Amino acid sequence: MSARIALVLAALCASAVSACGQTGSGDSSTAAPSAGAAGGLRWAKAPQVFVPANLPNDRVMAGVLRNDSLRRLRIKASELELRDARGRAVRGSVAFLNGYLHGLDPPTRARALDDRELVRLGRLARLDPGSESPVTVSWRVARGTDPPVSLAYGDLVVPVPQRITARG
Amino acid sequence: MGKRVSPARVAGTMVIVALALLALPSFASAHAERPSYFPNFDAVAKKYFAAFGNVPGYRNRGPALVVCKRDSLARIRALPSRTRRQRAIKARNLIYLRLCRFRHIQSAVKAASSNMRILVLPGIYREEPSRGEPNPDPACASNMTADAKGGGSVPAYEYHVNCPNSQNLISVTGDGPDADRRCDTRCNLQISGTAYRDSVLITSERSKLNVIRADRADGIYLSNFTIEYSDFNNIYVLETNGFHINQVESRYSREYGVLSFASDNGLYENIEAYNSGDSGIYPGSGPEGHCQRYGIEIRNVDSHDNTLGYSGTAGNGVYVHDSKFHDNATGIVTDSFAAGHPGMPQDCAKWENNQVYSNNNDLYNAERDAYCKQPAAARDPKIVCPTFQTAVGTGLMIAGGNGNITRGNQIWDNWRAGARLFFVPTQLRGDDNTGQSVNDQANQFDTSNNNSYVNNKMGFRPDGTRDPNGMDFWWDEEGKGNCWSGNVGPGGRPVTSDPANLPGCPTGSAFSTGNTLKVVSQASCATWDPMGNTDPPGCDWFTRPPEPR
Repeated sequence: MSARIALVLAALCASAVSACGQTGSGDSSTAAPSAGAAGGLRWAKAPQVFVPANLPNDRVMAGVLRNDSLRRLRIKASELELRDARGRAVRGSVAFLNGYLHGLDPPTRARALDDRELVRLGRLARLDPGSESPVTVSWRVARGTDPPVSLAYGDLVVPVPQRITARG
Repeated sequence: MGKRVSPARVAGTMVIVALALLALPSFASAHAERPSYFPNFDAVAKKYFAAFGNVPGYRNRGPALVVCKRDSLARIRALPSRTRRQRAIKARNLIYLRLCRFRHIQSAVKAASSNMRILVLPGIYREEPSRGEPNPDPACASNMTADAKGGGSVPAYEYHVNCPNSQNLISVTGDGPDADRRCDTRCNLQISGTAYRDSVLITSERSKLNVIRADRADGIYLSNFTIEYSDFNNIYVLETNGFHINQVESRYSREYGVLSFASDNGLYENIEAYNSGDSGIYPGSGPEGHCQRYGIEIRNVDSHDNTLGYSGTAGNGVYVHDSKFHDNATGIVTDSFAAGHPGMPQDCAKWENNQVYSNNNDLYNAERDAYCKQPAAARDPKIVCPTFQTAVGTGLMIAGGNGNITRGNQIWDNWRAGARLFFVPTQLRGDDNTGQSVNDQANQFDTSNNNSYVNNKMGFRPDGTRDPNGMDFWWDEEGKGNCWSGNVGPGGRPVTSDPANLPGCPTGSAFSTGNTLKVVSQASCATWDPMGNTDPPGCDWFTRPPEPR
């Protein structure tokens, strides 16, 4: 993870995730309950879960992930998976972003992008040991489905808070 | 071919294309662009110098080349002749017809020298010789350069000089083999239809990325025609100092109608732009006057039924007035979203006395999503498929802009919001290795400052009939110096807004890092993908809001 992203995290924690330092879920800021590599992924700050004003069935979780392992992680956003209490996948969207942006090219025109642009677009996080990245995860609450309780990258897992931080 | 109206000498040589190349498959690649520079930027010293140049005016005399089609005579005969003016136009066209020596506009461009006019007689211009040129063209494989952003290689300027029709139906390149990026040949060209706007149709039928490319073509003047069906830009003006686009109808572009980029001293006027997959007009990477001057003027434009009526990443120094933006998904957007745009962050545009209304085009519904998943070649090019995401139902959106003025506009019937203002952190803009942007990573809050909204008429039509916006103003509450004053709702009532209380002008807002929920709620929208994620959870942009009562 670049120093630049660490820098922006510090700045964005003051805005997009203004309560990064607050206790949102009560169970974050602790090492992920993972059997993975030593330390694994964890929330650097407590993630927050929001309900957008016009989307009462949607949830948006904003947080900062920290690589607490001893190896470099190169995580594609598409490789992060929400899981319910029974370990089943919950459909959602993931971006290593705390704000909106888009690419130079329309998404309708596939083109190989370098890592720098993928990082900028929030599709990729390059996390050196000890470094951090913002992440926004969203999902939809549907009748008959269980809510996600964790966000997983392989066997590296962080918890998803069940408490709503704020409603729009 | 080759005889011209004036005795001026034919300049240039027709490019001979190896027949073997015609057999190569053509494909439309993503439209990445080379690193581009403003005319008043020294790319070596990496600094701006004083702007120079002018907007070219129309010339009705001077050396000219005439282009016509086989049926031009019949079309001229069919022109109206009720009024004196109409009869004069008809007579003039009949005279021009006798002087016609070119069947294709590109042929005339190749034969032209600086300061010439290219007169285009009534007809449909398909530019068949251009269509067979391959993209990419192996003949110009050595003319590639590094992409402005995102990796890979893209055509350098020389590519378009040596293989002008690889990506462009009609290509005007003016710079010679030197390093100054200034026009040396085919400067001040004027390409004009000789009758009415709908008498000349230039159509690409998706065969090329750009229908007309004006690249370092200082002084270009394009007027009086209809242009359609680009795979990317109907009109593309790049690194050009001095351009004027007048009386043009642009339609059915897969991406952009009329687009200028890293250009200066421009005028868009009397343009109707519709049914483009991105925006009708796009004055992106506008001149860096930093509020001391406006380098591009836009007036009397009617942009409608596009995804965006107007968009302009790094759309600096643009003065937009007396125009209409309506029936798009979003009327106007200027932003600092994307990388690869010199002049970041966006600043100093002014929208004044425009009508921005009914921008509720429901282009992201399930039916359209399904339709647009088909390959582009299988779709009806008249049906708009959005190429980027936007918040349906928005009149005017400034995302990551500074020092913009929104004054005296009439903004009504936009079901989400009349105007939205939110910031874009520096980090998200990426780098600009050309040195033309200010991306100070130590200051993540350098956008959405000092924007003013003054004396706008919100939520009612010009005749006074109430026709509300979902809300008049939405602001993420980030930034300093943003202000709202003198804006009125129907019958002089107060405007509606979120937050309910907006800071007044001229003082504006004290610095704030913004409302967390509002900022975060935008992030999910970044994951939109027309093929795989058309309705990302957490993002409400893609559902058209109900009509407000």
